[in-house]
Amino acid sequence: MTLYIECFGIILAIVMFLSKSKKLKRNPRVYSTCKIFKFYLLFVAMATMLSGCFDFVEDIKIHDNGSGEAKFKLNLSKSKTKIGGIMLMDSIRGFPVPSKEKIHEKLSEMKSMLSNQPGISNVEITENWSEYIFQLKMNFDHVNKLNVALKKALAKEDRAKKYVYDAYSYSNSTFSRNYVAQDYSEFSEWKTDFATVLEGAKLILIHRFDQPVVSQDNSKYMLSKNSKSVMFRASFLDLKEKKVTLQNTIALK
Amino acid sequence: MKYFLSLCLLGSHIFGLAQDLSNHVPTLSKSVFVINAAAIHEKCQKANLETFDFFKAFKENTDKYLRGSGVDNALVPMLVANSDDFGISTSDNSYLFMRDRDSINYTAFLFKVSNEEKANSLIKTMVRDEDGVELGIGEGFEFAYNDNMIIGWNSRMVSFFDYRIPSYYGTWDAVEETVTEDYYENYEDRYEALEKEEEEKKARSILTALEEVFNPNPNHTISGNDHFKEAVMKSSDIIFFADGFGNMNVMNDVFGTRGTVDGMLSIFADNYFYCHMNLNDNDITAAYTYHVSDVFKDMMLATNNGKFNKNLIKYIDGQDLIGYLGMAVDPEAYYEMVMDIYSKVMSSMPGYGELVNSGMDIYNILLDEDEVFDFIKGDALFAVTNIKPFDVTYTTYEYDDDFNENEITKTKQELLPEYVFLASIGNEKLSGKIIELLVKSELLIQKEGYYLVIDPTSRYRKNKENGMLHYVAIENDVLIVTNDVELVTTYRESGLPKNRLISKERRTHLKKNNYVGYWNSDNTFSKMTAEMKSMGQDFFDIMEEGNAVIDHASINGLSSQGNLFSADLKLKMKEGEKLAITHLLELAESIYKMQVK
Repeated sequence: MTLYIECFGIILAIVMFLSKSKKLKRNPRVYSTCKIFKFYLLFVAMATMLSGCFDFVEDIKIHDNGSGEAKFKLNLSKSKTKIGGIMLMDSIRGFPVPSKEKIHEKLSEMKSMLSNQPGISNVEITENWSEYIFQLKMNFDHVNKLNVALKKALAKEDRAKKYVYDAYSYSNSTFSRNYVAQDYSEFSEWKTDFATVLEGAKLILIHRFDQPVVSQDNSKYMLSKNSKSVMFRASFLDLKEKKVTLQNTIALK
Repeated sequence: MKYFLSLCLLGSHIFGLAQDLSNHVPTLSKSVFVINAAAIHEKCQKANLETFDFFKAFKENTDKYLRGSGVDNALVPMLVANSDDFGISTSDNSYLFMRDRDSINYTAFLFKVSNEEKANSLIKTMVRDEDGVELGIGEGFEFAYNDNMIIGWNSRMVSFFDYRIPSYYGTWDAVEETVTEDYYENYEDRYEALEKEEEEKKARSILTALEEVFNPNPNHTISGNDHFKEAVMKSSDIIFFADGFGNMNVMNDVFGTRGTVDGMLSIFADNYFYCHMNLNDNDITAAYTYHVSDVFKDMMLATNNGKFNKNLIKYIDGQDLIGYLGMAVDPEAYYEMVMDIYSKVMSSMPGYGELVNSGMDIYNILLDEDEVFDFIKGDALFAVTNIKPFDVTYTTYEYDDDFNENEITKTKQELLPEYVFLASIGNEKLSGKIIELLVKSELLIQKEGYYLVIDPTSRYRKNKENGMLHYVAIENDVLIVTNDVELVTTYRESGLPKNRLISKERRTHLKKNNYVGYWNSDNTFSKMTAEMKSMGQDFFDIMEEGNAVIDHASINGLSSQGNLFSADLKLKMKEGEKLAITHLLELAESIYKMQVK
């Protein structure tokens, strides 16, 4: 049947021809980076087929000595019907759809890698396949150890290193959430409009402390009623368009 | 005189066959496509293919395009569409076939040369600048090959091959023998010698394939295959032919040598399949014909003796019908046929065939066939009757004043298909028992005359009526599974009002066929406009163009005549003055324009 269509309409041939010429033009570096992200942020990649209906929550508790607990949660529940459908396919809009087993395998690999990092303990990965909510939780001896562990987990490949930086620092009762504005221009090579992907996708950061917050330099972070937590909410689109920054330095009592 | 005329006709037929390239296609080819270049060329001309921008661009890039593309990729349409430019005969059939030999597996495209100069130029273009091209001369043909492709040619025909040397080829010895290993001074020498040996083996395999096509044994070509002759009796734009026996090669890996699988092969011995594909003025059709052995024939006839229950139609909402798929068979005959095939296949399994057979015998003894076939009537239909907003629940988080997280469930509306699955059932006692069991297991919740389905894996099982709901009902001897609550409440007993039922044309479709399929382009597109737009403007534009061209698609089957069983697939284009091919080319044009934009 495929050949039938090919021979008559020449439709497939022209599409193949065009995709072929695109392949030749494709920047190998970008392609490889996307490949890495496919594995480590595979759910975000899947969300790219949707209209950005996902939430990412970073919830970190930092004790006075710099140790603490980190939780990273990807919530795709809002898009679960579509994801359920996508999971039945081999690929969608140019992205191969990984199987449940493959995803589980990759998450297990990540868990094992993090567990072996010095200063990291109690690594837990929760997979909720009915709601498509995935959480990574771990304890760390110091935020510096957390930085190293995350770097190693996300920068297994050289090309991904540019996207990883020391996100946290803590000393003398001062906590900093660092942010290096990312250059997402590479992703314009994706078949999907990047803005569409990020539209409606939310990023939530919560940082909790033992002591009350005395001051912070980013007004986008809200202070909790008990003054011991700060919260940042924004859309990924705003982040991409550099309307907001995650950078914040918090002085504690 | 009439005998003389008959003789002339017969003679011209035989002469025509002898000239046809089918006598260069090996009879053991897995499958064969016969491409009627003349018909395709004529249709392309009628549709003014040359005037389309995508085709112009296609031609401009021919040189770049020809190099590196494979036969099984996009080379064939390229060559067929440009046949004049490449010296391909437009008055003879071209052949595309797949062949698996022990020494080489290949897909070949074979065409007759009408202009030798142009054909030579095509070959030169393809060979030029390619890495590692080996050239050679065979008996009555020349050839060139690299790691991906073989080209063989002479003044009469050209053949392109995609090929693969099976990894196991040459790795076994049927008879144990003493092998004298050559001595090598160092590893490099040994490696070099092995590599040379591999290259020689590859060259021999390639030459075998070329010889089989260019200098065939006249008794071993597809032109002498009676099944094939029957398939090509009627002319079509493209004919696909697959001989059942030839395809059994794939089973060798599982079953070992053929000697052990005689029982299984006997059921496929006389099975073959062909499909006639045509691009008509207003539609594109694919007519499938399957020839079964006498062993199968009676079983197939008995199986096919099924009809759709009229009561099923009462529950299909035709107002916004997207499509349906269904079959009506005699369940008992169907079961017996499947078990017969399964039993023959499984009992041929080396090692544990007998064990499987015994297990199946026990299963058959335990199965109460009377009860089961009184319960399952054999007709079932799945229809998507609309695409509309449904309530869907999802999990999200709220945060209190101290940013402590609380998990909550919210509801939103999402555009989803409204479906209904219908099947005729009998044996009220048995169906009652099954339903009772499902209710006890909390998989169903009893409502007034119908049941609510509970997803056993859902974490919301406790809040049973959250999210999108599915219902089950049994009424008028019909099992109804749907997500349309109105169907199981208001219309369960009476069926839908007449003005909401499917059209007369659809009812006739169900009445006249026992395998059916239908898809309506307009309804799908109009209901999903917003969703398609959300997938991007380019995607939406292509879909919009597609909808402007396609009216509906349908599957009709099965009809039978002797040992032949047939079905057809039809893609109906929108009514108008344009030809179906023009519609398709316009669609290709809009895709192209969007790509280059």
